[in-house]
Amino acid sequence: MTVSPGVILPGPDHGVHGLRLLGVGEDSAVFRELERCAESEGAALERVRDAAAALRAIARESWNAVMVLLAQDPDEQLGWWADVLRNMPRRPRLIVMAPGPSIGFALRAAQLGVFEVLPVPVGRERGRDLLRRLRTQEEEVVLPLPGVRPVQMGPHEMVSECPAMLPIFRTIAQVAPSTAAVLITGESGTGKELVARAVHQHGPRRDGPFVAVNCAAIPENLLESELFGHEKGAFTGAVARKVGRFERAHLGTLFLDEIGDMSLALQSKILRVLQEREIERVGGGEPIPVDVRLIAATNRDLKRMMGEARFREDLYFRLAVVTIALPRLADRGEDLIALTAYFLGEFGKRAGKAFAGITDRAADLLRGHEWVGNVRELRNVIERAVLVAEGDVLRAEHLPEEWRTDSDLIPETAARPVITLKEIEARHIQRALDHTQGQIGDAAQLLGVHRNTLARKIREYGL
Amino acid sequence: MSAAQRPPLRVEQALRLLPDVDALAPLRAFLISTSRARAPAEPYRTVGKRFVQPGHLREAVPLAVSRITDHLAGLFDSAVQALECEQRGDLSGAVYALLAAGEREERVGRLAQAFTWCDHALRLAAELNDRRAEIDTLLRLGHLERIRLRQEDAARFYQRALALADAEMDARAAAVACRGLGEAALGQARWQGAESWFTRGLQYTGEEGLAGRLQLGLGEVSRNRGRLDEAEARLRRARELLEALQDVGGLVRLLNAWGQLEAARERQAEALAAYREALAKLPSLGRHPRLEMAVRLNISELYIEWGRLPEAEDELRRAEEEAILHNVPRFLARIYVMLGQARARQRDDAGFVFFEKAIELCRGSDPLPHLEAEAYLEYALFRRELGDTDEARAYLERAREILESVGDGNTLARVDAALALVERH
Repeated sequence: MTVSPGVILPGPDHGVHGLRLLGVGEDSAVFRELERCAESEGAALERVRDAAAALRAIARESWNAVMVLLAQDPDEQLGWWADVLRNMPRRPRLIVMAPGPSIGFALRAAQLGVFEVLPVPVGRERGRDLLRRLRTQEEEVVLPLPGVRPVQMGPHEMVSECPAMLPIFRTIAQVAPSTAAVLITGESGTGKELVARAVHQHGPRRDGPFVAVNCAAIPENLLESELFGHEKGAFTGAVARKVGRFERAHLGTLFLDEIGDMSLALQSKILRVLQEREIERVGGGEPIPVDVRLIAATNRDLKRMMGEARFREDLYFRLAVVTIALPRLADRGEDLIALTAYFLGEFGKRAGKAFAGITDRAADLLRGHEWVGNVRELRNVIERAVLVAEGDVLRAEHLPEEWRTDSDLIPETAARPVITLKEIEARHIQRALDHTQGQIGDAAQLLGVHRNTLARKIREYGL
Repeated sequence: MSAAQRPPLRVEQALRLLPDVDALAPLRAFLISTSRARAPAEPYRTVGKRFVQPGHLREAVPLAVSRITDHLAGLFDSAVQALECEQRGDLSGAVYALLAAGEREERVGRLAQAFTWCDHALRLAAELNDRRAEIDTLLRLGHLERIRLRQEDAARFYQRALALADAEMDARAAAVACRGLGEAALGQARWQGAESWFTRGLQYTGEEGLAGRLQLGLGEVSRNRGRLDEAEARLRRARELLEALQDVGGLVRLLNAWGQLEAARERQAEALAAYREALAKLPSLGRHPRLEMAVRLNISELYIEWGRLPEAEDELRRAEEEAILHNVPRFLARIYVMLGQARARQRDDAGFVFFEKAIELCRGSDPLPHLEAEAYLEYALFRRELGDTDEARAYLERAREILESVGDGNTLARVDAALALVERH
């Protein structure tokens, strides 16, 4: 397996905007045509003969696109290439060339996120058109990240600029100093635990432990012993004495997340603890006094569950002395971008990377996503993006592949947050500056505004 | 509210409702394999927390019944074929009919049942003058024990097969037995033994495919012993042999081993490329969930070592889907141990759910004591990381107890080393 000597054709504009293409295949005639197109479009095309050499080149260097000439078994090879590139750290786009590709083939390619399927011979016009489209997609406008002022909650931070969150902050401040039980409602990933921590941190038990239990994650048969502890040998698998979460939360706060997932039998036991303020370990006979503040959370409709006799009414009223309802991420407007900036900062720090901007396309993709998993999902997406990102800008290519494939198909819906006028203005100015190669005077003329006005806006938007 | 609008049931909730009777065993398995995850909002999800919609299950029941009927029809056909062979005095034919039934069971992941068919075939084969059927049966049993992670039992079957093959001068069967012995030794981290068996296997065979796989085994031994250049040379030789035969299965295994070699050299991008190439070749093999999961676990391990924990979890979740879909509890247990390890790296104490689930899976109807001991070992390390030394010590003692009863010197040494660390703490 040796890398075949490549043909490098640096174009006249092989700088920031110069595309780097990796051609893979045997047929020299096809690539000669592409090389001519690349040259005229200011792109650089390097060619290797086989997949092994291509994989090495992809692992070693950064490419805008890989152009593969599929000779035999194009269907099989298509899936192979799509899978390989999807998981590559720098994710180049995939362009495939095949003799007489069928519609079925083209559809499958589209499903796999292939940038373009070209019939062989490619033809100069089609080749140029492809490279122009590729360049357009590569040219994303970089927008500055908003400044974020997180609210410190002990070791944790909360981020919000959204009016919908103000009453929540107010309630936290009001309820924290008391010892009242709090019920936090909201979809998974909306930050229920963070709010619980905030209540604990600002309350009289802040020096005591904060113990969190996710009732939905723990297998039913383990939950009781996890909460109350067990003695060694109490049941199969009880290989050691275990101190339960109630005991561990003594003089502090116990946070029971997803309490709606708890069985009725266990609900009764929780109620008993709240009434008698003591617990018994599984397999133990001695009552152990516990003094805990209980905060519960759920993503389920407990009132409806009470109606269906699946949640105890008496427990509900003991838990819901104060209720805090958290909004979905989709309902938090520009918090999406503020949180993105925050997570980029946090994960960037850990990865030794600093982010200064986000491209317009990446911001659009983030806004277009449904966020079923709310802030936790956003956090995961950004954590992954930071790992694959190079440079100081979050780009569309750093976001999940399936989003990008679908991005052109996302319809404008009422649910999708509307882009701000400031952002449109920033993008337009950036495009004008790109067009004038950074000349502010020329850009001002193009935009029909005074040079000083444009300079002020450039400063304001951090362009 | 229509049935479809009602919230789905959790798998653990559904299984609790169904009585544990034989007739429902296939439905229980089908329920698990068709359950759905609700990613990405549930980071601590294990199989019992997946969802099942009874309405969807009802729609799928005819398909499940037809699959079960096909499977049973195949088994009955093999059994009747064995009777017919017996009737016409063809005992060897009867043995092969029983082995075919065992293969059917293996294909649907029922390894204990597959073993029972083959074990029965062995009793019959032992009565024959022609030892061919007995050798094949022993090789089959060795293979089954190996994938059930019972390496010592596997080695015993392969030893018997080798002795018979030697006596019958059946060089191919002897080479296959040597390969099995090498793999069993690899599974027990007995590198020198594995090397001897693979080398001996090569002396028996001139067949390229088998030689390629033996070279591949030798390459893995070299990598495990830290002789990376030697491993590379052996894997290259294996590649030449396997490529010449277009042995895709062998090449996938080779790429998997190549990825591990690159990982050992800390060339993560190259390792990842090799694993991805292995995965990309898999579809041409048809259904091969075990191989796919093995590759995905290696990718996950690479990501964990690399510190790319979200990607490791993504990959483990993909492997989890496969393990659940194809009913492979031993892989599922491994996957949960690794998810626990990934959580341990984040000092996330909620990760304990993964170890607990892994241990529960190891205690299932086909127990996996070696894996259970490993799960306890990793669970103890997780607890130690979080400062719970008492629990860590208890889990290590439990691991020790299990290993002493089944015999596994290498893991035992790791457990003792961990115990010493905990004691020092």
